[in-house]
Amino acid sequence: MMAELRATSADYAALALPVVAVTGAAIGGVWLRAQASPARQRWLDSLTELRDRESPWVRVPASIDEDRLLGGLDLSATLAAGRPVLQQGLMPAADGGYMELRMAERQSAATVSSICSMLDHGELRLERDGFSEDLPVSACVIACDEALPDADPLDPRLADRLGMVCALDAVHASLIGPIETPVSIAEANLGWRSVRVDTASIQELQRIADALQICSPRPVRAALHTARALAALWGCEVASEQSILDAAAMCLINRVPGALQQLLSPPSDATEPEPPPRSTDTDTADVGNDTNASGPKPEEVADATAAVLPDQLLAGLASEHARQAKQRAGGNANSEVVGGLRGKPMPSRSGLPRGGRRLDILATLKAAAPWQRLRGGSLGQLRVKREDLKVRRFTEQTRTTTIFVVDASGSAAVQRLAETKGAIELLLAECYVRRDQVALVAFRGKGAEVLLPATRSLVRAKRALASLPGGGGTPLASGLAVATQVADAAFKRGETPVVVLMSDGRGNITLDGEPDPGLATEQALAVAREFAARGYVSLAIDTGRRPSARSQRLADAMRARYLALPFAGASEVNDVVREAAA
Amino acid sequence: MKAQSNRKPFPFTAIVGQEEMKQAILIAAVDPRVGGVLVFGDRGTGKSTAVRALAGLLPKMPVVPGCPYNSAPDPAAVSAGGKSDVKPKMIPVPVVDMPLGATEDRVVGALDLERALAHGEKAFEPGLLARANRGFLYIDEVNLLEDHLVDLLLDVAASGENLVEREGLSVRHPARFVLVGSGNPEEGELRPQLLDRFGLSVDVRTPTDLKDRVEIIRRRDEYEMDEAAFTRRWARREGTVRRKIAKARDAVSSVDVPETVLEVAARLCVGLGTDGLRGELTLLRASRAHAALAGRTKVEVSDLRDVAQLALRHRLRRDPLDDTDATVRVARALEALDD
Repeated sequence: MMAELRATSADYAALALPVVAVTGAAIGGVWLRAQASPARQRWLDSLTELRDRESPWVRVPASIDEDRLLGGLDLSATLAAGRPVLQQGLMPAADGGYMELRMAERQSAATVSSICSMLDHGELRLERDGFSEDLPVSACVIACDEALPDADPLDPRLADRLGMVCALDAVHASLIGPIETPVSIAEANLGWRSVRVDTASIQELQRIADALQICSPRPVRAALHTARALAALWGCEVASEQSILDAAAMCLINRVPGALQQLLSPPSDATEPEPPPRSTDTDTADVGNDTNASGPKPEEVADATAAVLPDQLLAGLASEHARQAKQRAGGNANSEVVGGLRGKPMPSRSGLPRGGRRLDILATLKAAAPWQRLRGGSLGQLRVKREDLKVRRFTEQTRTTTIFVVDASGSAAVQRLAETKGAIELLLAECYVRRDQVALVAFRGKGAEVLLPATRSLVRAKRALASLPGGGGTPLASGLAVATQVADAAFKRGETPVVVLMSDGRGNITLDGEPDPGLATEQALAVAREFAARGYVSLAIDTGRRPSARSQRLADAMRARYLALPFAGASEVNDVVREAAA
Repeated sequence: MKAQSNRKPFPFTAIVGQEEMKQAILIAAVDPRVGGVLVFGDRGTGKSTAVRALAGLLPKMPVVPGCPYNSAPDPAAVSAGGKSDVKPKMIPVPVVDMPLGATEDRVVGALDLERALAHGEKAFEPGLLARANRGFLYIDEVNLLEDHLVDLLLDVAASGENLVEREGLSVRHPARFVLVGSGNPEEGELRPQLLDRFGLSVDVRTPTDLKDRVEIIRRRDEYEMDEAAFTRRWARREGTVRRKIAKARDAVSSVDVPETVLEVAARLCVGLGTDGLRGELTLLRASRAHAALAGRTKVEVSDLRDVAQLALRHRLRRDPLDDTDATVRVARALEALDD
């Protein structure tokens, strides 16, 4: 009997429920890709019903404090008891159960790191506020990822550790619900670890992972666990080929957004995101049929997988996946929202909690504690004086994002592109030292494009620059318009944009991509004035053979500092950028 | 799904491939003066697994009992018989794990709040730096570490002592440790100053061979299904490596470095234009540890070649105009030695 893919994503969403209930934390967690919707709610509700009622279910809100997540000093209890009392964090509270992570894609890098460490080691190493403890924590993380396609995706470190993947956006709520399994979850829970999976099946899963360009071994391990859980739920001692294929679909193929839906729906209605409603009962009932204990026939699994994964699709998926991986790498996982009272914590300082400054309770207590005898304080009645008060300090996260807008047109390419690249590379090295972010916009031919979204990776910036071809017209207006957008985006993220335009100022392509030097110049000046209205720091470097009045005019319109490259050495340019960034 | 406390680490010898990473960790275990290891690379390549496995391979060391800083017993006091009641205690060389969420007070140490609140005493509660003294300090995702903690670590690593001036406390204690860091460069680069503090640097890549990758999954799976049985199966091989390290640790200081090897090292460093003497020193120390691990009493040029990548690749001047990978540049310089 051939193993087959199931009919719809809804089937896999339903099938994932008992698997997660059986494996729990062993699978790491669930990457639940869905907007807040009745379907997602129903899926979560179903899992809460299926799980062992004794096990905790902890909800972690978006942008949670580290104090609350990991634990910290409990002030009132500490004062009452006269000794430090730990307030348990949400993570240790989830031990033995589930941790629902709301808006997982918005969680800070620090939160993600703590969760990854917990998933890797099954414990929380607490080194905070004078506490030093190793708390065993083994929790299944349910990460609700609401990222839209063009937004920052879920942190890849976390995604890598979440073994099960469910995409619910194209699924109707009525199709989701716990399915009947021949063996109860409690029973499968006891026996799933002893289900055998032979090496050929592992090879098969690894091959599928390779085809999907999943490099990390973690998702394959999760697929093994899933196959075991499925076999146990259907009363088998050996993972059947169907269970291997199902595991591959849920843990591997689903990892590439949209891949499973594409496989499941025939190419003709690939544009139709919602699969036709079907009864889940009839689809899932046949799981048990082929799962006799005769053992899998790996060739058949291979064939089945090959049959359902056409080469072209795989190649397409692979490149899509690679593209996304690339985007992710440049994502702003590290950027934090700016505000005078947010950012990286610094050691506390004496001061009054005024003007929104927050009291650092622990530091205040520490300052007050040694004086209690002298001041006549006692247990439960601490005497805190004004000079004991400490306030939290944060460094302002005014990170600079330098946006290079490079003229790669024919006129520039011939004479100066190489020199321009050289100058930018020197600037990049400086940006790296200052830990600035760098973005790269290039314009040539008919329009402009963002070659590199804001990143701190010097290597990527260098690569993007090296592969920048030259030639074609000079769509200067488009270049400035795109640069304005990139600068706006950086500003919204709380960064300080600095725009460096490198062009000879001879725009000859209009915003619509038509060759018309007169109109193009006018448009460029208009866009430049629009840019100037935003008040960003900018620098116009004239890369022409000799300084021209045109470039000067453009720089004036942008309210940018003007520099002519022939006279400005790279280090001079750099000084100006540094000055501008400061 | 109840949590198991006291989990056994994945055995070092069971890690498939990644020979360079294993080599670097062994060298650091043999001679702490090599100055730490940085493991940078792809996700899921066993970076932190390998570092955590290190703890199981280290021999024991004598300390003054009850000393929070793992101080070595004073040989003079012992031989003079002055304090015969203080018998040195043998403890495993500490491998202290610094979690990313650690607060500064726990890293450097701070006022002991309990004693302050209950007894009004001003006492110092040592932090992670104290615990790591004479051992290893491991930071996973070292490239994501907060800047103020990086500054602090740089200072302590350079001076070998931890200076605490906070909350009215003024404490100074030794903090000599081998810094071990790991991370994924895609998530952010390491500050050059911190990069420079690492003696050896390893670049780990996902293995491309299907057979290796399947073997990784298989072993990890066996381990996860039954940790105790798996570690038992690997106990013999772990024991062999442990003995090898212990022997090399004893022998390393007496390993001889011939003049010819010194010359080759100098030529290599000059050829690569590495800054300062640190590269050359690390290169020689690592070669010595490498020879000791092989059971030899004299360093050979082949030892130097084997460790050159580890010791030098992160010390090359970053030239924004040269895109060549550092590993390739070191390899070229090694080839040039033959001419």
